[in-house]
Amino acid sequence: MKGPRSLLVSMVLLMGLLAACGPTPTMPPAAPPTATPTVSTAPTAAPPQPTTAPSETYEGSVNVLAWGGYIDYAIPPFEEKYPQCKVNISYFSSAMEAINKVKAGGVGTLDVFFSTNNFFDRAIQADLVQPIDPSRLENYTHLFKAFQPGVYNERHGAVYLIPYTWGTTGLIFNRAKTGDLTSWSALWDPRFKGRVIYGDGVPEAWVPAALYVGISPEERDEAAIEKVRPALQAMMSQARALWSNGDDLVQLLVNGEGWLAVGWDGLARQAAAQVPDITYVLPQEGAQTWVDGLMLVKNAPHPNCAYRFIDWLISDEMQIQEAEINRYSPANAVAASRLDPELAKALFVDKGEESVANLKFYRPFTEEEQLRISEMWTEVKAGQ
Amino acid sequence: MGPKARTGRAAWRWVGWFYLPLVYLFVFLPSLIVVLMSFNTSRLSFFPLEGLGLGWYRKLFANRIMWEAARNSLLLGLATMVLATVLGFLFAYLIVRFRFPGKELLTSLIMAPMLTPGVIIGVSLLSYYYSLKIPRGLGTTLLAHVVLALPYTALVIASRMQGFDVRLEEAARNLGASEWTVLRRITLPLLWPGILAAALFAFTISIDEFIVTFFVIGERSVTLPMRIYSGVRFGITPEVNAMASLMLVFSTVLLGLALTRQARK
Amino acid sequence: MNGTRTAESATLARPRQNLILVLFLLPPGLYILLFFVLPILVMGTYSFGCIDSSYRIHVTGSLQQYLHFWTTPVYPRLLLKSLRMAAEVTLLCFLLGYPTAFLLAWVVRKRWRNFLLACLLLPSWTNLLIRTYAWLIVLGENGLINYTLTRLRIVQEPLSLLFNNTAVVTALICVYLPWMVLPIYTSLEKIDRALLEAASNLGAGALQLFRRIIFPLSVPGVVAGALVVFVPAIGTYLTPMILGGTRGVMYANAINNQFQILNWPFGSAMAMILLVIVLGGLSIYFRFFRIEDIFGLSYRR
Repeated sequence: MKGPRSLLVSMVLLMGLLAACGPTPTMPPAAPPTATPTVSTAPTAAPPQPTTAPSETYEGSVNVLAWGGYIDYAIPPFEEKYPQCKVNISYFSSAMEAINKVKAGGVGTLDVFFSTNNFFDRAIQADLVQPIDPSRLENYTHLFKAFQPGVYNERHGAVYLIPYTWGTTGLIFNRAKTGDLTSWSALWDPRFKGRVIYGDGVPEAWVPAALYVGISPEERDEAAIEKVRPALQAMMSQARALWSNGDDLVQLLVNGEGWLAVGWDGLARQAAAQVPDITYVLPQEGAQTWVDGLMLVKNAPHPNCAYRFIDWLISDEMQIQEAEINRYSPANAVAASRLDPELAKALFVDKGEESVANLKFYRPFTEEEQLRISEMWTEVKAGQ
Repeated sequence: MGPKARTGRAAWRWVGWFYLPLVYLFVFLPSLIVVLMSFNTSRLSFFPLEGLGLGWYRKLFANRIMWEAARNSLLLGLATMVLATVLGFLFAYLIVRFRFPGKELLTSLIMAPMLTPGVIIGVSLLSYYYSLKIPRGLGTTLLAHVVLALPYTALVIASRMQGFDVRLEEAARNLGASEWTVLRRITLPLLWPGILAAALFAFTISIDEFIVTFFVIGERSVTLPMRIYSGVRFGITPEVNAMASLMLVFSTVLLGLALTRQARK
Repeated sequence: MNGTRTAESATLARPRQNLILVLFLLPPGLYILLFFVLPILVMGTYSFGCIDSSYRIHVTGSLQQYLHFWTTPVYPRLLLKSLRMAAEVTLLCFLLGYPTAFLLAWVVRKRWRNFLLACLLLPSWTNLLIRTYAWLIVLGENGLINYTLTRLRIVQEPLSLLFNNTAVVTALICVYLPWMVLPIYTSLEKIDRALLEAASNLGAGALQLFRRIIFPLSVPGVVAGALVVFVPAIGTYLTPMILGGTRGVMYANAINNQFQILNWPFGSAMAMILLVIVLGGLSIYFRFFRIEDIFGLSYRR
């Protein structure tokens, strides 16, 4: 019958139109990659030639799992430079979510994903990742010395995490509404009742509360949990909302729903770009420092492309762009030195190696601690 | 109808003019806000609007990843529509026309996904794919979406088949037509509105599906709901509002087409 | 009742019928078995196990996960909370939806009906997440409602409409209302007008018509609508999370959280418990209604 058939045709056409309407990928894939001797000079005017190390062939694509929107800026130039490495990207919004996704089926299909120094042990324990060979990364030596093998990326003598950015989780506040604040206790200040945006993740919720009640955030036994619980219960009526998604926090701060919050420094800077009164401070009691980085999945199907991609993300140009766009402190020392001085100061990388030499990290959460604290937090949120 | 009921009817019409628009406004409110905000020049979404412009639409067209996500969602929707409608038709035909042992049990099983919270379906499929080491992707997501849509398509088609006059089929058979011809020339065309409705249902269910998709999609592909959800450390930009508005327009057009076709019959 | 013969006169005698039966039975039957029943069974086996320090799942047959569930008060509490919220949403959807369906079926002119019904479904094609975030724009401090109210000087200070239970329920009703209206409309529309004519001619007033004939005949539709709203609502977690403030944690959040921290066995156990409850509730329904009746698939009473 004509009717149904033409409807089907029009739908297919519409769909084809929509699919075609999207922008085409930057460059069609080159001819099948073959191992060629390195070209010694490249014409400077032409678009960048793909660099092929003598022994490397590129597998055609690379599968990446990243924080939403975090590295999108870096993908088009990467694909231009390495047309045989098309980037397939998918997203997550919490560190544990990433690990869970890798565990649930990433081994054998995924190549690279992001993790943090607080959680990457989980990935290693669950046998989801393989060590990374830093000698295959040209830009590895450009990283801050402190980030080259260290407690935050090395296990069993091998490197598992390549630092991409670093930062802190501190106190964010709108100075016009709250005045200048210096302590975590501000979050529990009755003057700000109903105006606090509190963090919903285990580290974000635990650290400020632990420091507030006066214990070290590294104490995580049953006794510590019971000491921290009342503070978190008080926070339930103190807080307006909980954030687990960084963008939610920025929105809530910027449109005035929240006056103060616990959050990542990059988020504070993004909010400040829109509302200059929003300020970030490291409270006097202390704060959590974290390092965000890349891990290589076990049995990665596209290892060569994966190495190129990691190398690309930590390269000078990309790290500079990262600082300018995302406003998180770069892990690349050379890039940091080339930043605009104002920006470098804001990102705490204006002192060269000294900027990161004295960073203090809290001991990462073991999975038992994580389970226990997570359960306590669920109980508090459910009203007990 | 009798005189008493007739005057009642007029009064009801007044109620209708008052009540229905309110309800429809309520149901459409979020979608309308989304469309409004897609034209807002400011990156922040609150009132008063900063200004009106097409900036976000321009940015949207340059955003490759968003289009990939939308394309995946559309592909999934269409594939779900086809698969779920076919399976739903087969099943509807069965329960309306046949009696067989285990019919009640099978009906319950097929209806069950409609009555199972999404999180359970998502979690169970995740465990399933994990234990069988099936790599997750668009294919696994399609399988999940069809499970979700099947009860609805079966229902709608079966419902339509109920009011179907069997004598037409029998007449055709008596005139010597083969089963296949009967199906093609009589049953399907008469069922067409029901099949269409079922197809639209399936598409609706798939296009917006998030919870189950979250568990089963894996890492190599992304659908629109997923893309929006992982907005994160960086940010959901208002381009998503533009995308959502476009999809609303698209679905309105589709619906309009479907309805006018039906009216013409 | 509408004059057509029910189609269930086919018997299994003819071999051709048998062939069609099997041919049509296999695809949907197998599909449901492979991609619905089996996964649930697999999830069930995970719930009878535990994880080791490498997060590997060991199926040991032990009930430790279930024990943990029932001995930790927060989990049953959350379950109850979700059930209560779902019931609230269902009730409100019914109160708002029944008049809507009624008006559509009886008052609206015939040629507008399909159009209006389709319109009701249209918002469902906009992404749920985006629609939920839209409520932030409607109910927020600088949102639509507060902006209008303060500009019109109806209130001096913006109202705090967000991050509470009401906001969540409102957003959920907005999402589920069409799904309540549709089945009720279907059952109302099927009512034979001739019946009403007859009763009316016998002197029955409008109220009596409604109470004695219309409403009882629409009950299957109401039950169907209630089911289609209640069950998904139990598993809702995004909307409460985004709009509920500190009170936004629901049962499904807790399940998801367990999976996130790689504690699959416990997450599976929580899911199984929810499944048992839902099935239990359904089996009670099915004492009074046959599954075909509920969905208007048969006219047998």
